[in-house]
Amino acid sequence: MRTIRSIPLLLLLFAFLRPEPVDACGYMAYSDHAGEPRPALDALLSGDRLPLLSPGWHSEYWVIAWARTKGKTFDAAERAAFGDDGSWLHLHASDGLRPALDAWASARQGHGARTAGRIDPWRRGPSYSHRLVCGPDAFLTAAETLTDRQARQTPAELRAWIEAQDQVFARCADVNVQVPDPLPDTASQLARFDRDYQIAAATTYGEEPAAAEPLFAAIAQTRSPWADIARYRVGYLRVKRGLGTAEDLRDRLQQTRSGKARRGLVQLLDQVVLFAGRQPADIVEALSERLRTESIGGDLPRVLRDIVHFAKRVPPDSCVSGLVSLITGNEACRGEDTTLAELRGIGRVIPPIPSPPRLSGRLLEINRRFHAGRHALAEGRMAEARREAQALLAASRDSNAATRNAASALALATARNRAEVLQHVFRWQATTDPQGNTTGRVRGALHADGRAAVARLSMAQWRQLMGRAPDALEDQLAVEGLTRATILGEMDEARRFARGIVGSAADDADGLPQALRPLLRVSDDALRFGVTLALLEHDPGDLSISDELRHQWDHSQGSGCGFGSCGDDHPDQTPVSILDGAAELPISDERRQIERKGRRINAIGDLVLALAQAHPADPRTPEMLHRFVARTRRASLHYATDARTGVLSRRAFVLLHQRFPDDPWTGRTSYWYR
Amino acid sequence: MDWPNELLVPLSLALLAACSQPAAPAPEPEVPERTAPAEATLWVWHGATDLRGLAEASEGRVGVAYLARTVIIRRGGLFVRPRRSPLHLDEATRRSAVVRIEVEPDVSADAVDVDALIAEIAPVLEDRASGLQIDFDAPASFRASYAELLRGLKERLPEGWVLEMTALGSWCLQDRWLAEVPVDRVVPMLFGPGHERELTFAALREGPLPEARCRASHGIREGQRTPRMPDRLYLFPSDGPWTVERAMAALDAQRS
Repeated sequence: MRTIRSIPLLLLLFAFLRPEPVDACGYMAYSDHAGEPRPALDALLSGDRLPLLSPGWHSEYWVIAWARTKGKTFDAAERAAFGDDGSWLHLHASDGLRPALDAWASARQGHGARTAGRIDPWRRGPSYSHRLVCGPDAFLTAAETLTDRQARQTPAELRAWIEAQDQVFARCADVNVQVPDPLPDTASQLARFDRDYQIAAATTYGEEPAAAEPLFAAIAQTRSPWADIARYRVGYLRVKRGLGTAEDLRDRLQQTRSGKARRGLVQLLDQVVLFAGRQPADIVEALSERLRTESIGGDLPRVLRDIVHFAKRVPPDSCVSGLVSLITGNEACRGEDTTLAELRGIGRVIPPIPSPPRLSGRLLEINRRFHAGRHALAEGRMAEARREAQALLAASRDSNAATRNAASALALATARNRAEVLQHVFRWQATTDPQGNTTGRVRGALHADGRAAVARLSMAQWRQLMGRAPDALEDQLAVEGLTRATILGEMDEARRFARGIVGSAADDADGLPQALRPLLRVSDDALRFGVTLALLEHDPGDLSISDELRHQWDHSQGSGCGFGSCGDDHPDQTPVSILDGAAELPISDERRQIERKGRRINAIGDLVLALAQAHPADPRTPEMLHRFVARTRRASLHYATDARTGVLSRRAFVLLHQRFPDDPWTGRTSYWYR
Repeated sequence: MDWPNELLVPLSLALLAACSQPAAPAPEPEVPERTAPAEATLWVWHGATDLRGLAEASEGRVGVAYLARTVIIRRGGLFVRPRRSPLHLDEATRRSAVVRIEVEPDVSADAVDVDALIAEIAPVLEDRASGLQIDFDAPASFRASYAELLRGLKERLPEGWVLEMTALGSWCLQDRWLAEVPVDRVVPMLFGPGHERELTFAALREGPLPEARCRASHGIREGQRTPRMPDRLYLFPSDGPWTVERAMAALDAQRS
């Protein structure tokens, strides 16, 4: 595994040590969706073997896995009970509302009915609470019915039906809306059946169960297409009023043919017979037995939800079932049944995904992508990890720097060639014009892994990296190299970098190349003085205050807690770092020296003060001191300072004012900064 | 003239400091230290909450900002979850309704219908409250729509209501865009993702937050202490719904 994790780092090194592009990772086919928020249901329900199990899945999926280990074979009716979008879990009753409301609005259009008001399925309760009165099913049923009636009713009947239905839905939020009137006997039988049901439904929404029950009971006695559902409704209202009995519900079940109504009645039976007055552990036992031994058909999702619901309500000290421990994660109360540990032996279980607090949908998606990519990488599934990395890069394009860095770190770990390595190490953004010329810039500094990897490069390797980089990136790397070498006093290196900068610039280029041009043939000491002044004056990329490779407050991960919270609340949360192997490579001597110099602005300050002391008679010394003090202000505005920065700023300020009181640069230096 | 003894030491120190420091030292003015906020507000999120007695216990200084509804922007449209659990308050307790907006990852900013968003938020304006707070960690590409939404809400706000928005810590530091946002108050949430929280706290220890609109109010989590006490402090519960006792203990901890 360590070898796999080291591959990206090796890629990085090969990227500039070898001239040819690297494509060493190859492709590993892997079919399961482990690490996703939900599994591939086909594999889980009926695959030859269980897929990798992820604690990130909802517990209902684990119950399916448990049932498989108990020999359960899910039949076609059970498999058909699940959609392919995970919505069967109905984690929020309101989740299905929007598509249902849209379906109703769409079906309602074009029939000439009066404009309806906005439907609010929720009703205000006391004390700022709300209650969902009209669920998605109500709107979907209405939409389906309307579609059906178009071919069977006159336009006038259809308009009347729609307007009555508007009254029904208006009562979801407001009980004061009038119930639709009954139709006269002259209306068609189907229209009257429909209207009777609309009246009963509107009465139910008015929270008048005692009044609604006989209305539904009357419908159940007719040949109305609503008879089955009315039979269920009566059962529901009786249970709600505390009058429901198992015998009554069984009778109703026997008379009912509609699958939807039957599922409702079975659920009511469970409430009356199975749930009432029983302990949660017993309920889990009974339901899991049913799951294991019966074909549950379309009711399967509900049974799974109920198992999970009650398992979570089993007191910790009364665990009797391994299924309960599987759902609650409490392995201490392991029963004789299958446990998490046993399932681990069947399909490998991916370690839990940390759940940072208050993640919205978008952040949750990013978090899942990141962890899924990490898991895939850890498993050696490079193609999948790469897919996750690319999706993460896209999903996090609006995110903060820490998240984008994490995406880059993952992308680096899955990079396939030198260009990608460079792109993700530096978060380098390339732009290609119509003529095919590529330009670009470094977007921020490095993420933790890129920083760790590049920080270990020697100066010679650094130059080689430059040689492989695109031109625009090379320019920035050259300035960084020049800055480093000057700080370290490696003037041969500095001269090479300076030559490179001058050589790659146009002859009439101003700015830094112009300032460096006369310095190429001077002594080392003069070169160091001149370069320091030139960097302070021109400072492309603010490299005098922020080392492109160092921790920068808004461009790197700080403590490494890019995802969710860490620090005080979550001290155990790991930094966003993929490449453990980076730590195995020796850090270069030059880099170690740079680290010892501390913050970039402080290292420059030490150099400036030393040069000013050594060259008091140089006419450029006041300018250098002034420019350094000015840079400390810029550094303070960018939070790139520490306590020592203020000390150095003040020293330069005092030196300038004491030694050169009449110099024009002194007159322009009114403040020092901390 | 004789100087009173109690002034001699501070004056001498001030003189010494002025002499030894040749120029104005800091680019930013200091904010006077405050030991307690002038006003505190409890964020009340999910779960049944009973804060009757809070007005008396806090002598009317503590208000409530309750999650009134969540609006989720999905590709399929707007999904609304109104508050489902009851909240019991004293008559005298100041209260603001919070609307949390979330956006799913596959939604493009172009697809946001601001009028539809306003329509989904509008029912909250019928609540018995005196403020509306929008809690939206808006991605960069959504900020134009967000500003438009706030403008629309500002126009519809009942008389006497204030419009507030929460802010990520980064919006108060480097990622600044709040200057022109049409709200009465900005409440930075200093308990956000750890990385951001550390940066914001570090900035606060250094001085006032760079974004001027982030200085008057701070939101922190119960158990945290803000390095710099603002005029208005917002507290998010660390675990489960608030009780009066826990709320008062959390506020006392800020003063100690």
